[in-house]
Amino acid sequence: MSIMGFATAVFLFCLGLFTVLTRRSAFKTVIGLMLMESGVLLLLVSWAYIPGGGPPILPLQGTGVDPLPHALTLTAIVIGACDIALAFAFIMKLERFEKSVDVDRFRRLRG
Amino acid sequence: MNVSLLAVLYLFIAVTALVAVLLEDLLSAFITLSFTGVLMATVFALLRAPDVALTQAIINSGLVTSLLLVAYSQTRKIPHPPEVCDECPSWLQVKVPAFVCSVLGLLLFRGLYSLAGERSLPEASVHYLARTLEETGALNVVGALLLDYRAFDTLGETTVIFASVSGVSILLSGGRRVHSGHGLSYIVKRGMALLTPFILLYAASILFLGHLTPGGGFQGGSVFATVAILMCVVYGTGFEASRISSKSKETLEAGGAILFVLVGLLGIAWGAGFLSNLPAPFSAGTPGSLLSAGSMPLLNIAVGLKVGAGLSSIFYAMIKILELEDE
Repeated sequence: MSIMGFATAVFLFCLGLFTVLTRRSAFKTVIGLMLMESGVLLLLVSWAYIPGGGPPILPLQGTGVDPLPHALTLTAIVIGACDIALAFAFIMKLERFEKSVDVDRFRRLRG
Repeated sequence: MNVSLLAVLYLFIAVTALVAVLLEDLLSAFITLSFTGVLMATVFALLRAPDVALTQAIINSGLVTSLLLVAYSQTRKIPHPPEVCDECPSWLQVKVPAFVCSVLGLLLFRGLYSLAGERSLPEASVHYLARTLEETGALNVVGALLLDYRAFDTLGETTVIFASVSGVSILLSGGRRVHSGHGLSYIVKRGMALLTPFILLYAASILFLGHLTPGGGFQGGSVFATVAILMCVVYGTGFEASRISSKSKETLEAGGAILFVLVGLLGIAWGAGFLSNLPAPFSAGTPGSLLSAGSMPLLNIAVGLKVGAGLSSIFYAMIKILELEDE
C-alpha cells in the first residue's frame, strides 16, 4: 500500500537529481530541485499514513494518521517555495550580467 | 481508501514529472509541473493530510508557478540553451548520470522497502493525538504542533522567509517600476472586482480558523498574496503598487515577526518559558469556538501577515525588474 508512495517518491527524487545533473538551462535545474523536493514531501506524507486512520482533526473516530510528519511537510513546502524564489532571483540576475541562462557558461567563478 | 485510484494518481505524477523534464519548451514544462503539484495535492488529501494538501495546492502549484512564469518572461528575449551539452560525448552527458541516479534509486528503494508494512504510531504522535485538546485547546492537531508544541521551529521558519525576501529584494534592487500595461479587458476587471471580497473572505476564514480546521497562517497568508498577484495581472502592474506601497508591506511583515516574538516573550514574563501557550496567561476558551486555543489565533495572524506580505513582496521585486527590461 504505502510501497507505491515510496516508489513514486524515490522516482521523483532520482528524476530531479538526473535533471540537475544533465540539463543545461538553469530553469531546468530549478525544475529538478522542485521535483526532488516533491519526492521528499511525498515520502513523508505516505510514511505518515496509517491504514484506517482519520485526518488529524479532533474529535477523532478511531485512530488518526501521524500528525508529526504533516507538520514537517508543511514547513518544508513553505521553505521550498522561498528557496525557489531566491533561485529565480539568482537566475534573473545572472541573465542580466551574462546574457544567458546556460549553466555551462557561468565560468566566472572557476579557478 | 481507494487503492486503485491512488495507484492511478501515482502513475500520473510520475508521467507528468517525466514529461516536465523531457519537454524542450520551458513554458509547457512549467505548466506540466504545476499539474504534477495539483495531483500531489490530491494524493495528500487521499492520504488524510488536509493541511498539507491545502498548502501544496496554494503554494507549490499556485504561487511557485506564478513566480516561474515571471522569471521565465523576464528571460524570454535571450536564446535558451539546448537541452544537453553538444561538445561532450553522450555517454558522459546522459548515460553516466542516468546510471548513477538509477543505482541511487534502487538503493533508496531497497532501504525504504524494509520500512513499509504494518506501522503503528510513534509514542510522541500518540501523545499529540490524545492530549492536544487538553494541552492547547485546539482541534487541528497539525496546527497545534506548528504553533504550540513546535512554535520555536515556526519562528525559525518565518526567519527563513524573511531571509529569502531580503535576498530577493537585494538581488533585484535598483529596478524602477514603470506604469506600463493597462491590464486585461473591462469585463475581466469587473469580474475581478466582484470576486475579490470572496477571495479575501476565503483567505480570512483559512487564517482565523486555523486552530479548528485545516489551514492556518501559512495557507491564509498565501491566499492574501495570491490576491495581490491577481490584482497585478488583471489591473496592470502599477495598480496594486499605487494602493499598497512596498514600505507598508515591509511594515506588515515586520509587524508579524514582532507580534510572534511578543507573544513568545509574554510566556517568559509569566515564568512559563518562551512561546508557551496555556501555561502562560492565555485562556483555552471553549473548544471549537473562534476565540479558543490560547495564543494560537494570535500566532496564526502573525504568520499570515509575514507570509502574505513576504510572498507578495517577492513577486513585486521580480515584476519590477521585468518592467525595467521592457523599457
